[in-house]
Amino acid sequence: MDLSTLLQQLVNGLALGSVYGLIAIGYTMVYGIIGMINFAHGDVYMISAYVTAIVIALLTFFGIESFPIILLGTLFFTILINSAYGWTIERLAYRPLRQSTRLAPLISAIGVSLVLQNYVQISQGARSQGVPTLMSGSFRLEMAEGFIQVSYTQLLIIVVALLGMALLTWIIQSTRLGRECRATQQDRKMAMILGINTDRVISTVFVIGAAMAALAGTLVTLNYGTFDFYIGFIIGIKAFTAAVLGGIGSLPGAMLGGILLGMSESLFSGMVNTDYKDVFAFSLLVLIMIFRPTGLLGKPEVEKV
Amino acid sequence: MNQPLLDIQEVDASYGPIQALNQVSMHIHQGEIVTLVGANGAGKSTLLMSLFGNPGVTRGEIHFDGTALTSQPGHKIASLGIALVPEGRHVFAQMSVEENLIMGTTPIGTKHVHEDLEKMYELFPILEERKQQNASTLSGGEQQMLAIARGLMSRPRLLLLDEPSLGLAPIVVQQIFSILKEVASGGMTIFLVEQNVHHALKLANRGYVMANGRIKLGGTGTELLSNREVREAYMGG
Repeated sequence: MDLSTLLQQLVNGLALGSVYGLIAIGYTMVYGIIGMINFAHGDVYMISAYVTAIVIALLTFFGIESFPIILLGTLFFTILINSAYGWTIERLAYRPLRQSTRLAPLISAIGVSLVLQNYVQISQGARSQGVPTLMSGSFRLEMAEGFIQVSYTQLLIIVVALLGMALLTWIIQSTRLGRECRATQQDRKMAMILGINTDRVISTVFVIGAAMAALAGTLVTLNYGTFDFYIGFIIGIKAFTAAVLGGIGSLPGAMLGGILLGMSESLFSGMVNTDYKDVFAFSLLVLIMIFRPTGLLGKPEVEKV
Repeated sequence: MNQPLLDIQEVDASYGPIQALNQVSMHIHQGEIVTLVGANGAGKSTLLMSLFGNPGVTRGEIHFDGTALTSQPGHKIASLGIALVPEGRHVFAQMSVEENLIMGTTPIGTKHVHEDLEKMYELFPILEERKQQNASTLSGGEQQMLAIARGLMSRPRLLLLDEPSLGLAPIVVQQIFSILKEVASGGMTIFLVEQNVHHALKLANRGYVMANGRIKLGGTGTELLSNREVREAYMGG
């Protein structure tokens, strides 16, 4: 494999990985704060694909054709609607089980996942849907042998994902809301004693996770065009793998894990075999679980005395 | 005297089937330092936590400055002016010392934060030296100081302290108690739960003795120190 193919696969992997990273944020933050894996998260991502298509259809219906306006409009509405989904799911399916065993919300999450898939299948139909290509064209970088091609949408995915991650990092590190999130994550009882409404903080974390998934869903839908009610499952598990790879509970870990997973999957596709790329990704998950269960940036759980 | 700042009346509370508090009544007036002593498992920490509804009070009333605490959600208690420095310190290990202190301002907002940080660094100079470090890197005594300072950052009207001397070297305990004395001399109302009876009763105006979830005795510090029953009930003869 020559250099240009390698670089091309890395660029493709970066775009794919940014998407994994955005979705992984939702897994990792929810795990960090209440210690549960939100198996419905991938389906929240799926919802955003449908919302994207609906918003694009509506905007074109009203005669709006400028791409930046369509992009901002869809982002705005998918984030809004996805946030509402995230908030509602936590409120209805997880909060009533907060005092229950650890397994109960997990099972509830699988239930929510099935409900979302079936409800979308019934209301939107089982067939694959699509949106028209709104932005085409690409940069072409000539090299000594061959070339690298970066489409504008890929570039858009990478830039928007990095901006989203930077904004979120800033919120968590430097704002009052972020401090409250971290305090609740580290010691929920103490956070309550200090006057933090921990239930509200947990809701906020679900909203943030859903908003990041909306960002990913919109970008991917604009890039690939087609989707169905089942897309949330596989990409959800991939993003979960990314979160575990980076160290579940760690925000920079989710981003790093996403990008690493995207790149290695892309390299595997390019160098070995495209059909087995999912097998490769999940083998990676198994290997991490065996050899480094805390992930790359995760901290081993320390029993507090 | 006028009505007490904290008034606990015939409170029962339980963890599942185990009754942890049984008909507990006590009160603290503005400006007083009151201590609660008793053996491990007597229900002292439970009493403090029941102010925050955790465990919930099943019978009886708790009033703070006329407001019924039992009908408030736990996170609303701090904004009434009650700060708890819990047993085991519970500092936020992955936050810097200064961030921990800022977390203390949650109930009142950050209007006075710079002024109050200065005050805390004056009271606990070691915290200023370590303000950028993660709280997990502090020694036990330093963490205790941080926990107390974090409690004071909310400008409380009532400071609840749960076993501030637990697990600390005698010299550090001395240090902590002399700081508490300084805080108290500023007019702070303090409710101190301690197993270190000697230190606690010396600092306090009054004290209660608790055993098996009940208040057994109450009186001034010197009264309790010289009481034979206290030795029997608590110090084991």
